[in-house]
Amino acid sequence: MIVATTIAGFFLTLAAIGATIRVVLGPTVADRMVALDTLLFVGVGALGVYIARTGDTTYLPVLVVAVVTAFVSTIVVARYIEAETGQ
Amino acid sequence: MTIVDVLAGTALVIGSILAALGAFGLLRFPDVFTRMHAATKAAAVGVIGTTAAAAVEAGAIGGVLVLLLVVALLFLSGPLGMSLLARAAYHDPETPMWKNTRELPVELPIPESTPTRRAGGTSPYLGLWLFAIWVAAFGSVAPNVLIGGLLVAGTLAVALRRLAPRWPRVVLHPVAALRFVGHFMAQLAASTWDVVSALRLSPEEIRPAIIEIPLRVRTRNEVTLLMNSISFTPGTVALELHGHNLYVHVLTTDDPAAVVAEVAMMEDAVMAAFSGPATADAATPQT
Repeated sequence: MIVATTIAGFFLTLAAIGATIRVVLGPTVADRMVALDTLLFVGVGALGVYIARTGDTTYLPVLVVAVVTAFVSTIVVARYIEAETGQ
Repeated sequence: MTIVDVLAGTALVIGSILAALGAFGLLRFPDVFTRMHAATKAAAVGVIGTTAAAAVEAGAIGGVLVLLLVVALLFLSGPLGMSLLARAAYHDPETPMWKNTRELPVELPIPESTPTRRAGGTSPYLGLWLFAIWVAAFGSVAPNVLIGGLLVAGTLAVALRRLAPRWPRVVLHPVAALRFVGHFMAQLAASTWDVVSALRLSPEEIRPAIIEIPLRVRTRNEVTLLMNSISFTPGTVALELHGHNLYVHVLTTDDPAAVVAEVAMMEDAVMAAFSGPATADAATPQT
């Protein structure tokens, strides 16, 4: 488990860096939202790795809240883009 | 070190590599729609893998329940949010679209539509579903959690009865539903592989397409499940539903007929899951 979680942590870090670069570069709001979504999912995956490594389930509720937050934020941004277009 | 540990470890490593490849796709793909392919497939599937591994390793029954809830939420909310975002970006004239993108007209025979099954009525299982989610969210079967869940789920089920006729009845056929899940899993693996192999292409070689596909499914549940599912099938993100025509964005293709056939197969599986294999077979005599 130690080996697997270490490798997983390494690749998730790469994923987080890649997503962050896309958040900074943009160029559109939708691009940034897609990247932020990915970043949040990577965070969820990282917490999963932590749970698999330690067996510590204290942060489980954070996972549920994070996933729901990602969903709601995506919808809000989608509405925002549509409202802008509607003008 | 048990066999379960080895499986969970493998899922962790593969999942994290997929997440990294998805993020790489975010950087490499040329426009927001192609990037969505990377985000919904490679990245989301990767995270689902790591979360599932964590569920196996968590040990405690409560942890497993919560993680299963997370995986279900990832499956449901990921493609849904992405579809909404894709539709918004598609309508926004300022969103740049990769120059290779082609909008393909469909000149396909519109399949015979199956009889509409607009079955209204209440969902007697609403309370049960709410209760199950409550228990999973708490990850415990302690008496106070159960009593609280019964109170909340019962109150909501009774209070929302007024809205009940707007919720179509869900009739899931177990065998067909299992076949759907199997089909879905195979498509999921294939589509993730498609995104990963598209990473090799230079942007010039990526030829996205927007395809209009006439739908046979009619009820809300079926359309929702189909749109959610095809976000995971090879190379497609649902863009928009216009009347009974679905607009999908394909990552890269030169064979739109194959894409339409894939969506039609998923449609068959969805219809079978909701109405039983007999109706679906009647709708597609060639199978």
